[in-house]
Amino acid sequence: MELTQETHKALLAHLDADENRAKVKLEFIYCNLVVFFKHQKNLLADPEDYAIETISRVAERIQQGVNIRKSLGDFIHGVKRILLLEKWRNEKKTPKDIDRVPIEFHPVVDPFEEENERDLNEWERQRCECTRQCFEKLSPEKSKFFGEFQEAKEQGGLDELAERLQTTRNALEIRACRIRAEVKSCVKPCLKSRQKD
Amino acid sequence: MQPNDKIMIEYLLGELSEAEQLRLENQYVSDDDCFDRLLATQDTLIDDYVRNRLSGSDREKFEKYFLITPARREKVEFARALRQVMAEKRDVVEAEIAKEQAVTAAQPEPRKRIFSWQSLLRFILSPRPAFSFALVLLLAGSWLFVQNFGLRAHLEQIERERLTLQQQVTHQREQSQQLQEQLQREMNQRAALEQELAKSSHAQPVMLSFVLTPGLLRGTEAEKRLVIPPGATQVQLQLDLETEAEYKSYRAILRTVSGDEVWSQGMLKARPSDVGKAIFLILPATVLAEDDYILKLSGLNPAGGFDELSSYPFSVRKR
Repeated sequence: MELTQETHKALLAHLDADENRAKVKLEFIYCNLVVFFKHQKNLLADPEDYAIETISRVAERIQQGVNIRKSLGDFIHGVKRILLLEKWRNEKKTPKDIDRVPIEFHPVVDPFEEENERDLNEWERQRCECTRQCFEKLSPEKSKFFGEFQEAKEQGGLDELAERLQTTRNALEIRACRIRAEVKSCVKPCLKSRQKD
Repeated sequence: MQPNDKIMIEYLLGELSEAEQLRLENQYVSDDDCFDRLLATQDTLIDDYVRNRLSGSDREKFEKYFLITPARREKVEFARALRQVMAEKRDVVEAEIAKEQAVTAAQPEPRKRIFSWQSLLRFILSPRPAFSFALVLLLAGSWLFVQNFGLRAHLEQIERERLTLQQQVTHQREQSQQLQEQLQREMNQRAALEQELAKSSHAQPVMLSFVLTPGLLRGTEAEKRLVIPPGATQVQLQLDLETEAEYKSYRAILRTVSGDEVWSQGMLKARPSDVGKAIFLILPATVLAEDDYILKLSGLNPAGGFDELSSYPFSVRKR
């Protein structure tokens, strides 16, 4: 089953009114589905494929307007188990380990290693440059707060910082998390534009 | 109640049981505060990984279970870059402070102060013995008072340090105990999994299991179909209960869609399942011919009658 644009949209709308938050929620759910399928035995396809299949089925049911009686989590859980049972039945008898190559046959030298490493270092440098630029775009208040937060976190002094700012540690961490997300959302397009150049 | 950070970290590392995972997912999908907390916990976990502060096993789980998508690997790369940028900023601030201190240290001491000490010495050494003696006594007394005060402060500081150390020892003992409990739990889980694995690798596939959920299956043709291969002798049906009400016992009646009763069983008990409670039935596979069925579940009420609870429609195809 395929995850179409429409079914994907319907699922996101079901997860959160804010599309960006919905995407993050879906990412959490997807990752845990992958972990769930990774734990299962006798599966031939990749756990990622099963996770996408589960999400596709759930998304299609939501788009069809199926009434989710308990909650979305229960619904996903039910679908993943049905999928697993189906796959077990279909795949149990197929030969296993067909693609497994013994370790001694793995290539020892990667001829492109040096080149890849060079590219990787350049990419890291670009990422740091973009992060620096994006951090500079923050308001002075946010920038000051984030600096203090990181420093306190590094030193294990978040409780003291919370006391000084007359707030809770939870509120501090959530505020820092939002600032961090703001910087990160700026880094992505910055990196893309550099890639084009 | 909000789940704590430990549960959230276990969720992110793929360690939670299915039931706990389900509970947390239901909670953060509907509760914004819980979701914000999960995001903050995720940042902390990533930072701990980048700073090399995770234990060996957590690091392994992080790499194996957390870093499974490009988006998450991207988050780690971003955390590394952010850490570097913050360290550069800190270095700049520290360099500025050091520069300021160096400038202050290089400035000469005010002459006025040296002059005042010299005046005092001249005054003490001046030819006025009685006055000078009293002054020396006063200075010695003050010095003793300051020394005494200093020693007391020092003692208090030592006492405070001793208490802090004691608290740290207690805390570490608690942590060690928690770690031991966690280790024991993991060993038990591993033993159970190994047993399960051994059982599943030796057992013959004679019994098939199906999960029937009334809300899930209604109106969807694909999932209603139970495909029974030749050689299957028994069929286990898990009927997920949608009602919260508890009954002393339950009765299941299986009829074809034309209304012929083909099988029934009473005195059934609800048992815990992954999604709450469920009734587990085991039917001989021979009872199920290729047909469409409706399985009706009812509960025995205190008056001795049966309350109709749920219907589980399904069809059977033989392979």
